[in-house]
Parts: sequence; structure tokens; C-alpha cells
Amino acid sequence: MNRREFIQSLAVLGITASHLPTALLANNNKTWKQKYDAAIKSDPRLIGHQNYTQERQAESLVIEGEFPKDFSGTFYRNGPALLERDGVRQKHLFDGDGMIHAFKFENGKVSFINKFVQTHKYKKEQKAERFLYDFSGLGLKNTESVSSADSINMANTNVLPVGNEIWALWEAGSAYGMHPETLETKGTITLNAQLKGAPFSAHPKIDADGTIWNFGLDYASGQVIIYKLNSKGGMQKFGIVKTDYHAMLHDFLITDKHILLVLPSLKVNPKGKGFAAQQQFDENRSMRVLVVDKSDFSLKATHEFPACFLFHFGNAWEEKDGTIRFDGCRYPNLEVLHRMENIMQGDTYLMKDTISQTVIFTIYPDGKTKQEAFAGSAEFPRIYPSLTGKRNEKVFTIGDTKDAQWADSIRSMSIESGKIDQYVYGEDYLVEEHVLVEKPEQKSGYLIGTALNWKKQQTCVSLFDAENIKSGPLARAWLPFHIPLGFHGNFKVV
Amino acid sequence: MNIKNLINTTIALGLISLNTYAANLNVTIDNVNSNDGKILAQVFKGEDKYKTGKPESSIIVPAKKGENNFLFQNLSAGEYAVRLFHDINDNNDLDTNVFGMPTEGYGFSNQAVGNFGPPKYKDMVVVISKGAESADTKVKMIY
Repeated sequence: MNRREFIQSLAVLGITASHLPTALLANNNKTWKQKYDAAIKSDPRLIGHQNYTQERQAESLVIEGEFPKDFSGTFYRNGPALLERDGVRQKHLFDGDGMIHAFKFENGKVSFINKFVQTHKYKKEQKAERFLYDFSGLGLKNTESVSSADSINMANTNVLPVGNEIWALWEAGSAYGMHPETLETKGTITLNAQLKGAPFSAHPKIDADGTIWNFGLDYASGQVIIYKLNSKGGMQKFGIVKTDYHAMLHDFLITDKHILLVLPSLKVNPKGKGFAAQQQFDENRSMRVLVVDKSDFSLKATHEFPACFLFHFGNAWEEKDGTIRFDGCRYPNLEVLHRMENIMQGDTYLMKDTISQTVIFTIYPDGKTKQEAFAGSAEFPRIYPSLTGKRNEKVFTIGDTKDAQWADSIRSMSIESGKIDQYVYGEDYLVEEHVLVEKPEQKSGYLIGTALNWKKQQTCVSLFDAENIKSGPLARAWLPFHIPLGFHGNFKVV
Repeated sequence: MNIKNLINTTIALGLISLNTYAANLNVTIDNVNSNDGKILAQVFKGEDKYKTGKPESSIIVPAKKGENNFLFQNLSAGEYAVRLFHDINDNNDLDTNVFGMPTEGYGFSNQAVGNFGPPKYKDMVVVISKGAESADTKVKMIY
């Protein structure tokens, strides 16, 4: 695992052709919900994607080990929770209504609260007691029209502490502001009149000085809006970068000088039922990197890499000679996105194409490019926050050591030496994103994250020494129940 | 003037009357969200005029919170479409965000609402029949 692998082209990866699970074909006359309900009986790990409606609170969670007394703050997570209404199950995991989970750490104790983001969609459908918007071919009757992205904004992807609020983030519409303690929803964030309802991605990047950078892609026009906000969420500046890209764009990067818009090899099939189904991998389309000047949002250069797909990036930086380097979790194609439909109907059939691995992408000053892939599965990359846009040595990811369906482990990896520091939770755990809580002296700190123990049907939150992960958690707090598997989160230090 | 001529004249007058300006189009907006600003509305006769933006008539009415009613007068028989917006800041423009999405309330006759885009003309059509004195249409305000 410590060996650094250099892979010059995707062909070396030996991509296997995807194939349809036969079990699914034989099962086609059942509804999505019936298939899922049948499958969970034989595979209890599917509890992570069970419809979840409970808003809960828990005081003084049971703790194993000891949380440091000076470890104080709240760990927020977001993810799709409400997946079914009136006997109808959503087809894609991305289509569940977002729920915020907050673990509060204070004087060595841990408490918990979770609440749905009260989006326009959630409130309307809650009142109607059924899904009103059919944007993925559910076959619903008497539906409401989708007049804007915010009419189906599910605010289910990430949650970011901003000033005195937390923002629940989606990627195609507005952020939703919420109270950081009560998790009451305040409403959509409108940065200024010109930006009302504009897409605000779920992966903002924060400079060391607190400046919040983000982007949003207008699918129709291909224009990407770039946001520069102060640390309190106030608008400083925005600009538009024109592209010919109209497909899914999930994440981006910043260096000290530039914004990197990385356009994966996707195209849109307008006949697809639903956003995810419309996204298609195009092996003939290069992955493009648009280098945009941070000072005036002008496009400085466009670089190309062999066709691939990535949801997430860890970090980017520039060397003195202008060389740009960034890491991401690369998939050979888009099967991973379409596989989330299979999981929603309880099919855990495994395909190698859905495994991602950490890749370092390099763009040299003369425009030549290079990719270096590292062994082992890796997703949800994070770094020490103070190093955003600067050279980082380590990237922290989750991955699986047995199969590719759910993560069972966390690791840090030196992108210089390939050295890995890993902890395997074990097969009873479905491991979620882990984030860094940096100590003031920097480049050291804690790694915190949740994992669902499907045998106990309980979720735990575990704290690690980020520089010594293999020793296992310093402390772990158990909820008396489970919460659904989600996507991303962030820690607010108090 | 004999009886026959009188009848003919009457019919002729009636037709002229129907073919020129006779009917009212009553418009009801379901839900305006504040008393601020005004409603600017246009009515178009036929698809070509809608698409080329040549209204038959325009009207400005003060906005009031809740249901709003107004009418276009003296419309001849035919096919119409109404579009309107709530000019909440009184700048006489439908404000939009950077990508052209309206940021003020807007709506169309026959409660037409776009699905992933603007509504189609055929969904907003309201017909004033020959001889009718009025026609009604509802507008769903989209904020």
C-alpha cells in the first residue's frame, strides 16, 4: 500500500466494462420501495439508506475513551434523509430531503440534535403528505411544476458554519441559512438581488484569512458564477466564467492566485429521467481544467487531462515556477453516480468502476500535464483547513479495504512519500466523511467523523489524533439510535 | 328602412361590434406576496404577437397582498395570452438574477407554469368566444 504508483493514462487502470446486475432485470415489475424493503431483510447494511423522518435530540451520549477537555465545538453533517413519502421511494440517493445532524462537544461531553432543512420543497410536501415534484420519472400524478431550481432545492449535500449561522448547501440553487444551535431554518440566503436563486455549490473553499470562495454552474447557459464572500458570508465580489459545459459540476479548487474549475468528461442526455440519469460519461471528452484569476475572474488558461470523472478534490497549490498541483478522487467513468440508483432499490451489486482513488494532477508551466495515482480506494478527501490553496503534505480520505460499496476505514496519505496512516473500523461499520479540526500550531490536530454500526443499528462519532490515526480513536460517542448515511460536514470550533 | 334591412343592419352592427372591441378579460392573480409596488400586465392576441412581444393592451395596477383582480377591456373574439409581473421595487422592470431568472414574482394566464423553463404558449391560452361578453383567467404568481 505504501508504494507510489505512477499511472500515465487511464488505459493502464484496466477499466472493466460495466454490466447490469441480473437480479435487477428479473425484478423489474416491483416498485423501487418494494425492492428496497425486500433487500434490507437480507442485507441489514442497507439501513444507512432507509427512509428517515425522526427529528431527535440526545443528551450525554455514551462515551468510550475520553474527549479532551479543550476539544470544544460542534460537528455538523448533512445528507439525504427523507427518501419516501406515501409509499413512493425516490430513485436516486441525491434526491432525498436534507437533514442536518449536530454533535456538540463541551467539557468532555457530547450532545446531539438533528433537524430537516425546511426547504420550500420539504415544507410543501410535508403539508401534502406526498411528493409533489417528479423530476426523476417517479410516475407521480398531480405534480407541481418546477419553476426554478430552488423549487426542488433539497439542501442535502453539505453544511458550512458561516458567521452566526450554518448554511445547508445543495449545488444547483440557494444555500439555506439555519440557526447553529436550534437548527431552525431561517430561509434561503440571498447574497444580493442579482444572485437571488443562483446556484451556490456545496463545496465552498475557505482561504486562511477566512475568505469564502464558491462557484455555481448555470446548467442552461454553461456560465459559472464565482463567489467571493467575507468570513461572515457577506458578498465581496462575484464574476462569471463562460464555458460550454452543461453537466454536473460538484467541486472546485483554489490556489493562492487562482480558481480551478475542473470540468469532468460528462455530457448531458436530455432524455434521461432525472438529473443523475441525464449525466453521461463521454470517454472522448478530455477532463478540462480552467485556470481563473482570483483577482479579476479572468480565464488565464485551459488544460486537458485524459477522460475521467471526479466528485471531489482535496487541495490545489502552485509552486514557485508556476506549476499547479491538485489532488482528487478519480473514477474511471460515471458508474458511481448511476450506481446510487441501484443502492436505492437495495441492490448492493459491486462494480469495480465505482472505486475511486487519490490522483495527483500536475500542470507544468509549459502546459504539459501529468497524473499520479495512488493505490487503495479513497473518497471524501480533506486536508488541514489552514493549508487550503497552499502546499499540503497529507490528504485524509475514507475508503474500503474489502469491497467498494461502503467505506470501512480512514487514512491519511503523504502525497510526497505515499506513506499511509490508516485505521480500519471493521466490517460492522459504514464509515462516513472525516474532517480535520486543526490545532492552533497547525499541521496537527484531530480527525473527526461518523460511522454507522449496522449490527448495533447505532451511529457513533469518533475522534482521532490526525497524526496517529492507526492507534484508533482517542474517544468515541454513541448515539442510542442510528442516523442515515450522509454526505459532507464541517466542524465549528468554539 | 324595411324590416329585412333593419335585421341585416342589426346583424351587421352586431358583427362589427363583436369583431372590434366587445369583451372583457377578467384576470385573477392567486397570491401576491405584498402591498409593495405594482402589477404590470400585458395581453397578447395570438402566438405570433406573444412571441414577438406585441401586446394588444397593457395595464398597471397597484399590488395588494393576496388575491388581485383586474380586467382587460374591449377585446375582440380570439385567442389570448396574458403575462404579468409584480414590480415590487417600482422600477418598471422585471428584475432578474445574473442568469436571467426572474427575481420578482411573475405569472401567466391559464395558471401556466414552466417546468424546467418558461411555460409554453399553448398552456397559457385563454379564448374569448364570438359573442361572449367576457372570459376569465387565473394567474399563478411564481416568486
